[in-house]
Amino acid sequence: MRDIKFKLSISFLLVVLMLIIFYPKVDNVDVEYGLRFLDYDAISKGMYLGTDILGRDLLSILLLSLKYSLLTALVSVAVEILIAVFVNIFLSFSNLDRIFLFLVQIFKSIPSILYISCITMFFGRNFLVLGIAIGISRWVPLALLIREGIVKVSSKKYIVNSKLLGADRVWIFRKHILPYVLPQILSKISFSLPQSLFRESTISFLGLGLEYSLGKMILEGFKNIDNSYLFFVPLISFFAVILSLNVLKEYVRRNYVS
Amino acid sequence: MYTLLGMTVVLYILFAIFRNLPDNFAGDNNYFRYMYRVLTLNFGKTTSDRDIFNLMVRALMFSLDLTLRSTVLVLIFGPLLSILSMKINFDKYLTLIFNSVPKYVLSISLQVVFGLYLKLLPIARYFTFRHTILPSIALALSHVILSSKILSNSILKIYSENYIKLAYSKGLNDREVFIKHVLPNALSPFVSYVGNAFISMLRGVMVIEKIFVIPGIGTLYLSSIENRDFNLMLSISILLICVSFFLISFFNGIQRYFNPKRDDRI
Repeated sequence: MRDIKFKLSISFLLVVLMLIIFYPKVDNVDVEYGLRFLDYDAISKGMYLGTDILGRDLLSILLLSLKYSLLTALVSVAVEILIAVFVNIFLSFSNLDRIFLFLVQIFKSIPSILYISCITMFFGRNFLVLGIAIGISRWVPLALLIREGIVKVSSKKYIVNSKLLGADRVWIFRKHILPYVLPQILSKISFSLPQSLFRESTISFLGLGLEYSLGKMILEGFKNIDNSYLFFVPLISFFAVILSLNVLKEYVRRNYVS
Repeated sequence: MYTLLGMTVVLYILFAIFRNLPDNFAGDNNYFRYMYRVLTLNFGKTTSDRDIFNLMVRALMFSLDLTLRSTVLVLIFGPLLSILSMKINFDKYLTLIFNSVPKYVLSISLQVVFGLYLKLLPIARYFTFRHTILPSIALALSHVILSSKILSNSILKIYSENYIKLAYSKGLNDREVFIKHVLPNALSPFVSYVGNAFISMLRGVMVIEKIFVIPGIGTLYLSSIENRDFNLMLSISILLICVSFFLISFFNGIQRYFNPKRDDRI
């Protein structure tokens, strides 16, 4: 019973994942049955959650948007971690620290929505492109965190000693620095998945994002607030997914990161 | 000097991107002539033939007003909440729940609850003090919670230091110790967080402005994207980059004043 929150959240996420893989039927459309919520006729047609304005199956649309939001978030997290780790590997084998900090200061001063909108204008509104853009906008704090860990460890005495004893840089990196930095990266991964989901849905909410996305669904519901279920169904599902991801994050931080 | 050089390089890249976009670009095609015009505050005109500089300044006033109001909220309610959370331990669930609510959802629910159902406050627009309450709360709430957490953590950390024990053994009472020894040392992470929060609020103001229909810089930018007005987009980008660059340098100076021991390498 100790980890009941964790078990609940991970089973919820697994159920959502199975539904995302197997359920969505995009062509389940009936224009006659627009704007039904938990309606007997719609349920008998196989639209278990009702229909939206255009008569599309709401559950299918919801799962499809959830799928694209999660894919974007995963791509962005992968890009973020790749960039941060490669930048740090590059930094630790060269003496370009000052230039890096200067670049970071410039990069920080550009608001992220500017270049996200620029990139999506250039390369099209694709979940891959949007994920890469969000990853580019988020790599700086992670890189700074890893670098801070490396700087802190490198001034410790045992590393100076092993340098004096004749260990080369790669060995020191593998044996002393990596075990110190790796848990931080792990916690940051679990931390940054909900954050990038947030950012993706915010961009979609502003109308700069994907066709199928939770932010877009919430925006549609916000425009038609009279039929309030169109607003509350995506909202509650989004809240549940983020909450379970946050519980997962707490679990990872408590058990695997000291 | 180097930073100025880097800024010009960044602006050049932006300019090159915007110049090569397929639709019409109403600005000047030569980079140096364009930059000279920007330096003399002559940004050109929008596609609907209005002066960009006036539009941007008017919009930026609204955004800065909103951001300053929410910064004041953070400065007032962050310490209060931190004191409360040291007395009662409600901290954990509050952060867990408020981490799972994005800003736009929070502002829509504030609108629905206080504007639509309770009818206490106006739903949208930005005229009087009553109009400014809901957007500034929506902008500030997450920062209030995080800053209170940071402040209470640093206060608890400082109470375990040795010089506090020395101060008690000198015979100071609780209040003197708190005011003279704890507060100046505990305040520096809080102040640096508030500085960062100001910048991030200025960037995140776009969503709030779209929802509460405030004629700020975010609304201007979104409308320029919708209208494909590239000159306006480029001008707003330049303005935002310059403003946030100066703000970052300003808050770095403030942090160095509060915490002279700060290591610049990290």
